[in-house]
Amino acid sequence: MEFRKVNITLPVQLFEKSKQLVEKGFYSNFSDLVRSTLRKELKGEQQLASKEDEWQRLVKEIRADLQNTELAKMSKEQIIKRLRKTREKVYDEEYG
Amino acid sequence: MMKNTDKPIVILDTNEFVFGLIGNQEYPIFLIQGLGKLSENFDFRVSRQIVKEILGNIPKNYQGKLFNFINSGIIKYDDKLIDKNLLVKYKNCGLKKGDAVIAAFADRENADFLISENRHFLNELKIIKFKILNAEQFLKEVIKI
Repeated sequence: MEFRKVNITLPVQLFEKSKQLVEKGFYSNFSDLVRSTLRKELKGEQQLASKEDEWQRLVKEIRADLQNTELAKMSKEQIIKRLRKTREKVYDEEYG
Repeated sequence: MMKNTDKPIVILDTNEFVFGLIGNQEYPIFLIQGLGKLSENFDFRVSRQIVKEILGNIPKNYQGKLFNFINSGIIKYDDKLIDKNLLVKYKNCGLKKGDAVIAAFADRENADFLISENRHFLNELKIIKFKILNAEQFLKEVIKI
């Protein structure tokens, strides 16, 4: 594995608190702490990206599924009118 | 009631899903497609009434798939009925019975926003604890796309 040395500037308080984690044995040294934290951050980003991709895929799939339904042929006003009817019907079933 | 999230709470009305998944309205489509990304910064929620309305308007063979989609973790689905006293509060404000359920849900959830393409239905509301916007306003004014 190839390594690259980098200089970073941190607020003193953040550095002191990070140093305490090393002293308590959570990390073998400061570089280990930075490497581990960056790995966790990158893993989180990847998970988020795949969650977004999955959502986009589902939306696309459902849009394709529903393109031939009755609602897809209606105007905005017709849809709103129909949804109003459904709203009242669901209310009556649940609370009526 | 205290909020159990530090993200703004956003209630999505039935019509946002219908227009976002079936229609050709640009902003609802953009909103629904973007929920995966937007959920990083916003807490999206739907109620039992909203889910029943959505499912009630699509063919039976797609209902299971759509329910799983809504329940896939990007949106929080709350299956609880609304307390009658809260419902009465909104009915007394002049809202139609079904609209009162949506407003009462937004109130119960301590919502910051209610997103609806039919937002004028709540215009007469005197007690406004949350902001009512359509998808275009939400995307432009809140998300600032």
